[in-house]
Amino acid sequence: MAPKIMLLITLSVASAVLVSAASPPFQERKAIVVLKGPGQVSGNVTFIQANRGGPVMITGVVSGLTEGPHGFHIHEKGDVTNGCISTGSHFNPQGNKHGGPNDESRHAGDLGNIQADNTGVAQFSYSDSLISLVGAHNILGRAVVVHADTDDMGRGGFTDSLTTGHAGSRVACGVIGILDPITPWDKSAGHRSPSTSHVLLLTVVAAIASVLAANSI
Amino acid sequence: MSAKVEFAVEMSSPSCADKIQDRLIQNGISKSDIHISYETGIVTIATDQPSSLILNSIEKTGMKAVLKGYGSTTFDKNLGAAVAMLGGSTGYSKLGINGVVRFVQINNNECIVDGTIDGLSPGKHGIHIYECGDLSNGCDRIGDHLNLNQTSHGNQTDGPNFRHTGDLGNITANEDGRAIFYFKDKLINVSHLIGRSVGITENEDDCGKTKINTSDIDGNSGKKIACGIIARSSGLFENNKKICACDGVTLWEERDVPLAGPSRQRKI
Repeated sequence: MAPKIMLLITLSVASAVLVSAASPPFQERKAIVVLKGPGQVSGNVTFIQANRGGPVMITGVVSGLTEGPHGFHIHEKGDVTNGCISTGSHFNPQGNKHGGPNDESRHAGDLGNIQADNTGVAQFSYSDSLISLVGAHNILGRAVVVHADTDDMGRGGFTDSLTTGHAGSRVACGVIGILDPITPWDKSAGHRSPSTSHVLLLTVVAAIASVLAANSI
Repeated sequence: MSAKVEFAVEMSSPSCADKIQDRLIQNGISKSDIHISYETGIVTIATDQPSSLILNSIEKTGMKAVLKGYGSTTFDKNLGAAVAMLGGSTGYSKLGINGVVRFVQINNNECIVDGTIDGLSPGKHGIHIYECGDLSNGCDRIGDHLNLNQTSHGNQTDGPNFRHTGDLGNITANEDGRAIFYFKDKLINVSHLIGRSVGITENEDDCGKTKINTSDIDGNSGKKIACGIIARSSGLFENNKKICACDGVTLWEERDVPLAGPSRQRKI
């Protein structure tokens, strides 16, 4: 009996190793949004995610703003063919109310405010754990909007505080795209299935294991 | 018919529905493919025609229309819808070129490419998907042709091992500089395109057939003269937004105001 159990354990470990070998390691992903306004407002913001499901580092410089905080959001779509309407609402895959980036209940797209100095330049670098460059919270292909006023993070008591943070009209927009130069992940289709040989081996391992399990009863 | 397009139309009375239907039938769309709801202001059409032509024919009735959603006739689920604007705030183009290219996944194996571009020089221009969506230096940082299978350059009609994923062949601009195109592609899938770019080149793409110079890389198609990030867009009945929450601009006003800036300011 004991050797059989040992063999079972060995086979389970072997299959686990094979499964992990079949899925490639996560490679760092990088994205950029180039913000443009009809006026003087312009800037670049990069989004870098080093690990799958890990935080995304947001680094940017936006100039041409008025001094002070400006609401900074990601919308569900990146379609600006009919302006603000076609970008949909704030990116909100969890169906939450509007909030600030540090609130438990917030839209994934609620990135708070960016702070412009007295020359109208906002320089910022912070990380966010709710947005991602993979999976259901993937921000690629969505629009980024910089607002004229401060996002009250849902606390202002205005009619639109809980939806848009009462951040006023928009001063610049852009769509999040894959950053150049491209990382190796983005050269591929992104989802590789385990190779045929792995599947075959796993099937054999499973078959032996079930035979052994049946015998040991 | 493989695609379904959803338009919001500004109808002032129930009789508007008949006017829209008559106009669409005149444009070769059969009655059974048209669905009009005066109550919701939504018109859906099953079609294989470019969406810009349908929009124009609805607007010939004098009513304003806006494309709201795009999807498949056979699947209710959004299999993938995307749009790229060439020029404007989410694209880049040489002066005078502007256009919209839409990508709609209609089943697991087919993606519709539906576009209208103005301001081109008459004749053929290459159209490709590029691997990046980085507009920080115009169209110069959008990378190479999307090439998921590590193949040589080819034509849109070539087999998967004889073209890049992003090789969509050529589009043809008429004497007025307008190119309207509509085709299905079996190699691209909207899920692989999000966050990348579509670009138009100065010259005709030889589709890898001349074998001279850079034929097997870019078909000697020359510089990119317009490009846009491929952005997520709405599937059918996915976006019922009619007013911009932050400044009160309505669905019907959006086309007449800039995307951002002081002239939008009518805070609610």
